[in-house]
Amino acid sequence: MDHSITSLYDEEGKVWNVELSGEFDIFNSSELKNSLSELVAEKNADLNLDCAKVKFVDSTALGSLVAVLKNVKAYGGKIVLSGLRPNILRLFKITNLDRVFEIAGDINGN
Amino acid sequence: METNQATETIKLSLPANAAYVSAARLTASSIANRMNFYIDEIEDIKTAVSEACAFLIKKSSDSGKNSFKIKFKLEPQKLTINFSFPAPKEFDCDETDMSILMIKGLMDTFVTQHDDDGSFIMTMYKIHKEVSFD
Repeated sequence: MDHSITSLYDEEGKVWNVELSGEFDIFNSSELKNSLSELVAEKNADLNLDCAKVKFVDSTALGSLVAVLKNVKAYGGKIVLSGLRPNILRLFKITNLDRVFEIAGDINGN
Repeated sequence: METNQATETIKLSLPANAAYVSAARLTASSIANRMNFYIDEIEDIKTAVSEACAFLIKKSSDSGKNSFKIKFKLEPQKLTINFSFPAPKEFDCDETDMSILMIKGLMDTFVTQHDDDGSFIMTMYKIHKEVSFD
C-alpha cells in the first residue's frame, strides 16, 4: 500500500511541517505513530499535518494520531490538520475527534 | 460469483492479516462503483469494510483464529456485506469499540448474530440513495 510521511522542521516557526500521503490503516498505523512520535521526541514542537494527499484513514490511524497528540499536549503543543478530504473529515466528525484536533481547513481550503 | 437474476453474490476468504485489508477495501470499492453508488457512499462502504476487517483481525489475534470470510450480496440499490469468523457463543462486539462506532455511523444497518455452525456474523448494508434534482 502506497503511503509516505515526509517532514521538515521550521526553525523560525518552531513547528514540524509533515506531509502525509496515501492510505493509513491497521497495516501501517503503527508506522505513522512511530514516525510522528520520533519527530516530537527530537524537538518538542507543534505538528502541522498536511493531509491533502491522504486518500484513506481508518480508526487505527486515528488512534495513532490521538496517541501522538497525547505526547504533544504533555509539553503544551498542538497538532493542526489541514487539507482533509471530505470523507476523512467526516470520520473525524463521527468520532468527535474534530473537537480534539485543530482542523485548519479541508482540501478545498474551507 | 453466483448469479441469481436480480441478486449476485461475491465471496472472499482472507487471512486475518492486516496486509490484506486493502484488498477487501478495493473489492468493496469496485463492487459499489459497479452498482453506481455515489462517491460519498463508496467511501462510506470502503471505510466500513476496512473497520470490520480491522475489528476481526484484532479479535483474531486474541482468539488465535487466522481467517475470516466476507460475502457481498448485490441487489438493486442495496449492498449487503457479511463478515463471518469462528467464535464462541459468548463472543460479542464491544459497542464502544471505535471500529463498531464508525461502522454504525457509516452504514444504514449493522447487526451481529451467532450462526449454528459456530460462526460469529456481522452484517451491514447500504442502500443507494436516489437524488432528486427537482
